[in-house]
Amino acid sequence: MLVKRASAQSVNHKVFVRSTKAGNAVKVYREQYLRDDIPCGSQLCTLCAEISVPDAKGDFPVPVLSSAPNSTTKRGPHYVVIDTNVALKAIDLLEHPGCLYDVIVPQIVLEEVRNRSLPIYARLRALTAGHDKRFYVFHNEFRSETHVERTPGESINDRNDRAIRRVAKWYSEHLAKVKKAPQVLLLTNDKKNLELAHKDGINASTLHSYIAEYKDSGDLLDIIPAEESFTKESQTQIYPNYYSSSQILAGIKNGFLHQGKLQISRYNYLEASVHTEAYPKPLLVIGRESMNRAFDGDKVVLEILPKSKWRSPLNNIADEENVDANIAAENDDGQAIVTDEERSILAKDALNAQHHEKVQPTARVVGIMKRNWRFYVGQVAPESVNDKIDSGALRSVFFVPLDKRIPRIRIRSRKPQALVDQRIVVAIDDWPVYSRSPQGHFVRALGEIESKSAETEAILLEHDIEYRPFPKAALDCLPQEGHDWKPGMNDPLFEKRRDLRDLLICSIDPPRCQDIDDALHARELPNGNYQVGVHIADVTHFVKASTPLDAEGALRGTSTYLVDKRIDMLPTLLGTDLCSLRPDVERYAFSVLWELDQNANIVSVEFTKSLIRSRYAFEYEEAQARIDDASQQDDLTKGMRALLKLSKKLKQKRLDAGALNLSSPEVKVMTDSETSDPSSVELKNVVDTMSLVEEFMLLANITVARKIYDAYPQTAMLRRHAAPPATNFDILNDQLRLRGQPQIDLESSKTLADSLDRIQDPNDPYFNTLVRIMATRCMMAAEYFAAGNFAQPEFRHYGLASEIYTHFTSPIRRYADIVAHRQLAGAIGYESLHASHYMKNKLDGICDNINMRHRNAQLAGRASIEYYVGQMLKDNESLQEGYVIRVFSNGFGVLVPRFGLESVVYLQDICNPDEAELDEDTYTLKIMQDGKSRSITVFDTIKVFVKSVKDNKGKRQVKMLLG
Amino acid sequence: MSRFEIYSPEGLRADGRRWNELRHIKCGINTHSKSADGSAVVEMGASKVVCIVQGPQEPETRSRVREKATLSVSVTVAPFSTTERSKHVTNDRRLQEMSANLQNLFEEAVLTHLHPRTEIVCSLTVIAQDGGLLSCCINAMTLALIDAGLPMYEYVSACSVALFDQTPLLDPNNVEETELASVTVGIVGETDKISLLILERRLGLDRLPPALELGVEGCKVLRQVMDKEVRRHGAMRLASRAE
Amino acid sequence: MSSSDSENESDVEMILEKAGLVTPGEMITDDTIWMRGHGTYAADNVTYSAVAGTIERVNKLLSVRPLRGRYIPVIGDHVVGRITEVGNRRWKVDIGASQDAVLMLGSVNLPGGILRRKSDDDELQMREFLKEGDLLNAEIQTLYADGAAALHTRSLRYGKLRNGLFVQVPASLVLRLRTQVYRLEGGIEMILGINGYIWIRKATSTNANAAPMDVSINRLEQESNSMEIYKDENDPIPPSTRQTISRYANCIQALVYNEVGINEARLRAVYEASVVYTDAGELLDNTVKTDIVKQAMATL
Repeated sequence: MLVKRASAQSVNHKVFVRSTKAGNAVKVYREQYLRDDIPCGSQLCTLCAEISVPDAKGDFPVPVLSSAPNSTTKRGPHYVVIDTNVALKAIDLLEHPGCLYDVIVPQIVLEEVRNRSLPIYARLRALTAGHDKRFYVFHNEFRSETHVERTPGESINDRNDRAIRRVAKWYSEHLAKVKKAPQVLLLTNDKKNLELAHKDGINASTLHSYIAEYKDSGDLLDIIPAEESFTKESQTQIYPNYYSSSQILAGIKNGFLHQGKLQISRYNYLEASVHTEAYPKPLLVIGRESMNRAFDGDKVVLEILPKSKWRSPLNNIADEENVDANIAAENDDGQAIVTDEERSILAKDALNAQHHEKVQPTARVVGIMKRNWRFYVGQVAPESVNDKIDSGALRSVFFVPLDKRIPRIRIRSRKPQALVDQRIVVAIDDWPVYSRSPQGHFVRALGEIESKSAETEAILLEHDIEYRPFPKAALDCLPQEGHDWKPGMNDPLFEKRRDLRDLLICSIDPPRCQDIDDALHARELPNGNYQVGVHIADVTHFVKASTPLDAEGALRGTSTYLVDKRIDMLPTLLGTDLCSLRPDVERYAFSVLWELDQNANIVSVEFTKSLIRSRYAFEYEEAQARIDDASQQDDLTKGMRALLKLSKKLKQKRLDAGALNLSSPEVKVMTDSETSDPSSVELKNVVDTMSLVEEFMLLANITVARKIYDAYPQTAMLRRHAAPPATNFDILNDQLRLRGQPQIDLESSKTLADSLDRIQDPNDPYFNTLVRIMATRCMMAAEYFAAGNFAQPEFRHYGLASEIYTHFTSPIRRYADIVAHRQLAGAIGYESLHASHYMKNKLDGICDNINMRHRNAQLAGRASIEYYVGQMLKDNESLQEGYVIRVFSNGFGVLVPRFGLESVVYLQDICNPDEAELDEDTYTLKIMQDGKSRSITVFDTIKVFVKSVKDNKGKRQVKMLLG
Repeated sequence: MSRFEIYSPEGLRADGRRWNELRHIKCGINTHSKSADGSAVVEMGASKVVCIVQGPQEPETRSRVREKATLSVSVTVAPFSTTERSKHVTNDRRLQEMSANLQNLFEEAVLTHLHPRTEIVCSLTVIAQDGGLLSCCINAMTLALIDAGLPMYEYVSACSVALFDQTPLLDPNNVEETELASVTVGIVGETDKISLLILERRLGLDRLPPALELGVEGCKVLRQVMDKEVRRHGAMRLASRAE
Repeated sequence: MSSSDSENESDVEMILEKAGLVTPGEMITDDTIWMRGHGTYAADNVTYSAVAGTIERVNKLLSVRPLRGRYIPVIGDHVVGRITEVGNRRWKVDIGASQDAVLMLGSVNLPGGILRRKSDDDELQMREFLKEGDLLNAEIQTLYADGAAALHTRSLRYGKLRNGLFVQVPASLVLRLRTQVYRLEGGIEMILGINGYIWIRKATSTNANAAPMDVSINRLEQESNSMEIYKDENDPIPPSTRQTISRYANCIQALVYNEVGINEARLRAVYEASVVYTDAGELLDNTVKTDIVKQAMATL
């Protein structure tokens, strides 16, 4: 092994003191070693081939820049050097297959991008990793010829720009030595940079004029982000400026300012709340001016308003679409920030607030620490398109995002008319103080609105679900044998596996299940106890930590189930074949083996990696039938009967301990097998064997959780469900009281379960379920966490009434289970645990991601059902029974159990909203309908027309009207 | 999350080194000739440690009177050496552990039996911390002990190796040390025999061998650097004596 | 056998070639014919160096002399030391070696004459004679097995020191000479301890004409009759003498700075070279130190 010493001449040694965000002074040591062995990356260059050195594995760097780069209409073969702004703003264009090949990304650009936006950095890195667009990272900071020192008085930005120009200059000089040298073109949108580049004799151009050189550049030009010259000069400022960063730092340190994540209400886009460290209750942010250009999810800095301006939460529904749609996109600027309609909503509300003294601390946004900008899916607002035919000139139009919490975005397009009926994706560029709306640019079109493919993709994009095919690097990690893989192949640890092939193991799953990740067996032992085994697909045998496949799985976090589509977390080869515990084939499993006594108490437990052969893959009903069929007396059936018997005991124990049985309005969309169009909606039904499987999975999860917690007290991957704060139930209990129903008792999960059981309406069997659904919404969400983050009593899983819990049983579709598998393998000494699974900060990162992915996958699943139900209702409007679950001053929320559908009935659609009156104490809305007065209270059963309408903005919504 | 890429796909570390490169090493022997029997300064990159050796001398307390020389090691960290200026902590567990490690290591390397009933006091002062603190201390102590004319079997040299996934990174700086698991390797002489092995975090056993191999090679280079300094200084002394 | 002899000869050549410098762990020889001395160790019959220094050969004995190191006591050395501890019928004296030397109560002259019997009273009032921190000059009388030294002061030239300034230099820079006590210009007397501890004092009338060998028994008895020899107070020392003492101290430091061995002649020469600098403080400058030493060495 060759060890080298860095030479003294080339070291650039800096020690400086810097102030941190927290206001402390820190001393930073930074060294930089300059070198001469950084290749230029061009296939033309012979010099660099000699100087390049291999990495730790002995591989030499591969030159990626083509020897015959592309030309444009005006320019011969050329390489492109980009600056930071181009990378940040035009990443979509960089990814576009139609332009920009052979791009040199200076290291300083990569670093700046990394500090400004991690997602864009990841995309840029992906471009440099894949060789198809031939992006090359040139480490200019480390190559002695291209390293530049900051001169006194020079700003960091100027120095970095100079460094980028030096790269362009160096490349053209360096390549001048080869035959048929390509041009080197610097792309920058910065005027000063451009000027200086020209002065230095560097080929430079703006992105816009460069793209215009391409043939058929029209489409490409649409993707170019808005430049500063988006709107006319001399703007009047309509939003307040943000505080300077030093003001913010000082403010936060002194406690005058607060920071937190802005969460905009789903019901009212003018209301947002922010949880801060300083206050137990969230701070309110009300109105556009106070929100001051912040987006949902942004990390914002807040200043508390004077007490006279404190407000109570709004109690009406507001949808930007319905409030102020009639503003032309072209002259959006300089207008009053708050429109008259908005004002009236707020004014009414202020009045309300003073009636009820429920005011809460209210704040305004004075700075943004971190933007949560992402891609937004939506459509062009048709009324903002003025031209009947696309003239080819740039037009400003409004883009309406699907997410109601996101404001309309102004984009520019040359062919807005063509976009009107399309689902499109838009990225945000900026939100200047003089512009009422944020400015963005078109990224791509998904397809026609309401077409299945476009809407499905829209759902996936909106929920940030990675649905693109698995990258090649990930697929390369799969066994080379593919479907022909057999146990024992290239497996050095095969000896450590226990052979359980002789056990009578079977799996019980929903119909047509392909990814079978669990199987069971039970057999009676001579002492009268039972040996019960839960066998989980051994995914981690195939997915080794820190491989590209693992990285992809960790990123996806979970499989996502849409009505007609499954987005897998792992490639199909694993999910449905190699890992899937299919019957009559030998498969690897991770087994938990218990000895249980007659009362299902655990006598002993054992964990082992194993080799199994499942005897049969049952569907729930099939298994039930087999158990019930007394004529079946084979060992397998007997084992299943034992399992069922034990599972009932387990369930009873769990319920006695206070496990909750909560409900959500789950429905299943039946699709026509031919066209996969939705044909009907069914509620899911329940059979005993479902809970059989469930009980043993819970038992396995709990047992494994204990084991990995013992082995890794700081970093065990666990799942907790916090007890809900009593205040969450205040409103529901109040509503129950008015209804004359017993209260929900929050003393413990046991009392809660019991009290839920007591709530019954003899006339309405569904009432109990309804309350359960509403109670579920008052609960906390369960979450994954690393054991070290909480004290042991807080590990408790409230819903399952278990002291400790984890997810172990579905590694094919959940990443948390994969981590648990690896930790268990480490705990039993099968395989050493990878560093990322016992380093707490790494594990915290994993947990945050999978919690988010899990939530998004659920939301996406619901959105998908909603879409299909909407499609199904398109042609069959029907009168349905619904329950009022929430009242507002200008509408009320209704749940229709038949479709598991929830929607809002707007008063303006059924009566004159001005005559309506909301009594907040009794949760009653009094309205005048057809001259008759009618009151609507929470829990009321009402008849509603359910229909699916495509509103005038082209957005399909489920609409309900009073029947 | 670090501000920089710890190890870029192009094979470069945040400070421009490749995986198998030591930082710039600067060492000086006999740097505090008036105030000590032996003294040395070692800089590895931006890290800097001063070692002062007093002795062998009459033990300060009777408990240190043994049939061989007692090594007393103390490590002090200058408040300005850390990233965040901290109040002086006297009984820092980390420092005590480090002192104990140094003492154990050098008791094997120094021929302590030649100086019975004496004490050798080694005081290390950390002037700047940018990773590799323990290795820096070990190397400084070796030089200072040689300067004090104490008999040793061999040079003790040490360096640390961090692991970026499967790639070992030699002589990690502070950023790398915070982000990655690392191991400090110390050897006596130019052998492949490891005399000191300290892991700061948990590390899979399978990942250890390549790290150790690189660490040992790094130590050998360090030994050469130190030997050169000792010879340079020795030659200078002999030259002035000859005059 | 002759062949092995010639091999031996070439071995010697090789060793002497190396004579420049060896460092710890460096192989000196793998020939077993050599005896191993200080600064070496053996492993598998191969001799290695344990220190950084020069190889010295005395007949068949090979040793390595370290470049630096503490003073190693040798019987008969005239050293300067400092009392660190007063114990049971003995004093502990720091002489710059690896262990403190021992000065037995019986090895000192006590007031009342040479033939006086040591009484229990003497044991109780040991601190009256020498207490912690006192400086003295003495001779190494014997060495113990572990290398520690025993001292004696049973001569008038030894004993407690006063009227002067203490300077410490590396022992390796003090050159062994016939005598370690010099009279210097400016009424100064210097005791150059072989252990690198140096005492520079005002030359007094008593020790002015004290050519040690001329001391008569009578004088000795006369002197030691009183507590005079254990007196703590300094005699009056005029500022000019103090200046001169400082100047000599700085001259010594100049020699040390330049790694030049210290002896009487060199010190005198450096002193002379230093006179151009009227203020003794100027000698603290490193360039001045080098300068005067260069000048002085040129005159020798």
